[in-house]
Amino acid sequence: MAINSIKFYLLLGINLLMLGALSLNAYIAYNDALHELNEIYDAELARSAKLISLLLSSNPLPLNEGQPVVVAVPHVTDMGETMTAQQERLLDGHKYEGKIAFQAQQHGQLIMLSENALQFPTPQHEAGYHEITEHGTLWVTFSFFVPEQDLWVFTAQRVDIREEMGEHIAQAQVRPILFMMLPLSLLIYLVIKQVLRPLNLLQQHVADKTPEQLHEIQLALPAELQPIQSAINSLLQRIRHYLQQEKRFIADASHELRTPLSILQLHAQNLSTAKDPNEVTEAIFAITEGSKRMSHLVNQLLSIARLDHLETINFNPVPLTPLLHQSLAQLPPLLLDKVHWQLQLDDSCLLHGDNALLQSVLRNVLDNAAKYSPTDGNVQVTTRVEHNQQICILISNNGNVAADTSRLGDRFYRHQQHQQVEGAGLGLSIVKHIIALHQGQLSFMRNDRGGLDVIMTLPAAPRGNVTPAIQ
Amino acid sequence: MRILLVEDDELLAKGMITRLKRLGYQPELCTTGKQAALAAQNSNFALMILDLGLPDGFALDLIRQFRQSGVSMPILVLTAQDQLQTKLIALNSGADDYLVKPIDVMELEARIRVLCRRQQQRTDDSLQLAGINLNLNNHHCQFQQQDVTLTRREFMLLKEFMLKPDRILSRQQLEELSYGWDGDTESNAIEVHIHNLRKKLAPEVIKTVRGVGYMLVSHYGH
Repeated sequence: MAINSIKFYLLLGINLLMLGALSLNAYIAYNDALHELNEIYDAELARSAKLISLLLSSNPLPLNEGQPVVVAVPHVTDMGETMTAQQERLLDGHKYEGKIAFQAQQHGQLIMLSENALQFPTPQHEAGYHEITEHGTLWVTFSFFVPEQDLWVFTAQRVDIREEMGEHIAQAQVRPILFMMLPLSLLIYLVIKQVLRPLNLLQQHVADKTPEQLHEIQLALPAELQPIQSAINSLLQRIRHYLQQEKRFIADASHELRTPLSILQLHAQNLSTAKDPNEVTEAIFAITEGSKRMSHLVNQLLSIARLDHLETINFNPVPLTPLLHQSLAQLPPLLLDKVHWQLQLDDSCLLHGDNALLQSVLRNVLDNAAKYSPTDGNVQVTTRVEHNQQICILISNNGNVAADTSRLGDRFYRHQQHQQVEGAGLGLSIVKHIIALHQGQLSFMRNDRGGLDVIMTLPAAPRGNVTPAIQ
Repeated sequence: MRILLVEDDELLAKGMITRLKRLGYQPELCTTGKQAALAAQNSNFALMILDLGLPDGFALDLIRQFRQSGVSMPILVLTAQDQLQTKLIALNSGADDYLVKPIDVMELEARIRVLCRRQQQRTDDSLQLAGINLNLNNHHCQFQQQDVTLTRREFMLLKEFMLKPDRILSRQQLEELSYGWDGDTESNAIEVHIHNLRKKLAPEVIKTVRGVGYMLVSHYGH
């Protein structure tokens, strides 16, 4: 059993509590017993004193030349508990008699005493209970005075006898529980083991999970473990979903790579057997186009992979207008000349984000806007600062754009009508990802010009920060 | 032999057309499922090569529609989708073969030949009739144990004649077979090829049926 385990702590805790309860119990029992014993013995001392005084006053002792009468007591001074009660009942009395002593004085003279009271100092002539020490032993004495006879009777009892009996009574209470502790601990251990069995079961089930088998765990568990089970199940579900997504991504990616690959292979084979110069030209053109398409696709895939592993980005103030101009300049010249660009830019827009990533966002959206516009179409780019520290970028085209706005931004999603347009359907998914990293918002809306409005809302740089990231 | 090629990727289709033509087939290109359905209704094709990812998403339905309406032309699916599920759906819908891109053209051609062979209930690629021995695989031709060298168009024509012996093939049919829809056939191009074939073989092998067309005489030499 490991030290840092629920079993160990439960067992330790229960045992310590049990020990504590036992000690308290023993202490209270001892004090109670001592209190009761004190009362009984004090009463006994008083009664003995009165009895002796009554006897002495009704039957005056014949004084033996001034020598007091000595009452013998059994010579058992051993205080141990080695003998049985029967053995302790001796012929000449009880060994405890040695623990009770008395003296009687009349007219200031000792007339009678027990044997063990021979060494006693003369007791105080003051009625009531006193405590005296004789030979290192504490005694409780009771002095009783009979004025008619001028008789003092002193009875005394050793205090340790009371303590000893108190201990006996307390021990009698505690001992059986003490003996029960070991088997009880064992039983508790077994119970804990039984109670923790569902936890072990759950642990085994979780340990048995493999990426291929991520089914839900359905165990009949106690109420405390059910939230853990459902948490594990929801985690499993998320992992399953994630794996499925990855699988689909790989399937889609390989699907997208296969067509350009086929083009390369086919035309390369054609080229190797071509006789006609036209065929050679055609094959070379196709191979060039095919490799362009493929390198574009691979680049997109790589940026997706990079984005997937990007956890944090460098937030810098980025002026929007120069960024837009740069992104436009990076478009292929054919695409740039295809449409009329209508820019309405607010030059005070200062974005808060990663320069390179934001540029990739703008490039992708501008590229799409032009690509899916008719020749000589219009693409409007509007930027403005919103009141809530946000910057809104609206890119809007016209024409005959077919798109399922709810699926735009899904990886590899392309509307069937636009399958002929170059691309793999990854651009907007990259845009979506980068905007999410910036805690911005991306939405699509069909506009009344037959085109699509792409609305991006991105955080503005905090005010007062005037160091621009790019000049 | 005319082949209906349904492929929406322009570059890929161009390459395939070039290659198939070189191998003695006459491919016709359709870029959507709807076009393909129309083409199949109006002309005869020996085989269809079908891409599943068509712009109108019509490919699987097209296979089912063909099979339901009794079109028995072999359908070879050529696609980038390699999931087993898609394969099963396509084959269960009535496709005869399923190839995943990228493909080797030689394999594609071999599979086309296999499908046609099965369709024409032959066991090999060698056609023997009227003393002519034509190998569809290596395009080798012998007439009465003598090697004959054929041009591409001559081979295409002879192949059609030998696949349909003793049946009249109209001039228009033959033109479509060897030039396709948008071929720039001169009015007497077919006659020239037939003439050349007769010269290389024997004049009586291919009979002219006046006003109708031409016919291969299978019992020539017997």
